[in-house]
Amino acid sequence: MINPAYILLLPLLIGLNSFSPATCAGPDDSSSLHVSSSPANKTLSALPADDQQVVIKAAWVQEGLPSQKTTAAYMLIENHGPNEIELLSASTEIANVVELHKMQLEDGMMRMRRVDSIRIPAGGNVELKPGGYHLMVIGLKKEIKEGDAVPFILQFSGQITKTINVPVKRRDKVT
Amino acid sequence: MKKTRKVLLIPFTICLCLAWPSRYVQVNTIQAASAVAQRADFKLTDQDGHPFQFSQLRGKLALIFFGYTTCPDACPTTLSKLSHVYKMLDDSEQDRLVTVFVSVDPGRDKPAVLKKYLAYFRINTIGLTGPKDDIDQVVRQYGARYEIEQSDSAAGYHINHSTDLYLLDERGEVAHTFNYADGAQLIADEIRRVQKSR
Repeated sequence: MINPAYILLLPLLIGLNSFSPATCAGPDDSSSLHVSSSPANKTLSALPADDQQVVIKAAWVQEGLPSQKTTAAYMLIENHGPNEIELLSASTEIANVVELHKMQLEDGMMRMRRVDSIRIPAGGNVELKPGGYHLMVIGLKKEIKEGDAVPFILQFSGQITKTINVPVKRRDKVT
Repeated sequence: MKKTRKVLLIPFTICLCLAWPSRYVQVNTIQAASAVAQRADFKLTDQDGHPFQFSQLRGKLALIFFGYTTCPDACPTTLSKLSHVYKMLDDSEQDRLVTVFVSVDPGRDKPAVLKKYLAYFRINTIGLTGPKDDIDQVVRQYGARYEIEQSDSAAGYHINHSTDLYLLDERGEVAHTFNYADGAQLIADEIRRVQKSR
């Protein structure tokens, strides 16, 4: 017989896990500890499967540039599941809007376009990196400096939600 | 017989007189146009709000590229790469080099914006802005390209632009054009090569 008090505590435990310090995704951190979040309505038995399906590595967000209200975030997204998934949207409390953008170098011309989603093949990965995809962070509400960590919420298809703390970096220290 | 020769020589001489000056003028016109293309002295405004003429670059090597401060990717990547280039050069080599960032977004990139933005990258950069027509002349001069694209992004319009980096010699002429993929080491090596060849 399970004590009803444990059942009441369950959502709280899940919530704490989502925002634990271990969610910080550093560029040199290849462990999967830094990503953990799931829909609150999932049962406990479903949690491990979701956590293992999508893994975010080497995430970083560019330090806010003086006089600018826009920045970009990058990361490696791994899909360990048997089905293709899509990154549908992202958000952060420190900016008004986050959009998915893609850069493309064509004949020496760097072009940018907004995309609706980013597909991650089953068993594969997609790297958001300079010159390719990035999260366009628009309307910064405050300065973000190297050493800070910024929480991002990533919404994938299949109702998978990931919350990650992304370290702020100077671009010249990463690229 | 002699008379016949003279008769033949007259039209020949006339033709020569008519043809020679025009060919001479034509050749010189092309050379002049070429010189103008290479050495036009454009006037823009620098990040301190002062008028800036490209002739002020003479005597130093200059790295010129085109971009805009709200560019999320290519421009900060290029400036970050150039900060690595500067670290590879010694003090003397740095002193004989200047970087020029020409904004293709004069609507947003006012001098004060350029000043704050460029100071962040800690390299010797002159930021230039000005009327669109003047900027377009400089863009054409170096064979750069850009296009303003309206989009449904919350960031507003963005600008697709060429990413070439031009190395000018002390006379203001293009000594080398770097591609976006060229790394900091290659750029630093070429700067040294051009400086030593002078």
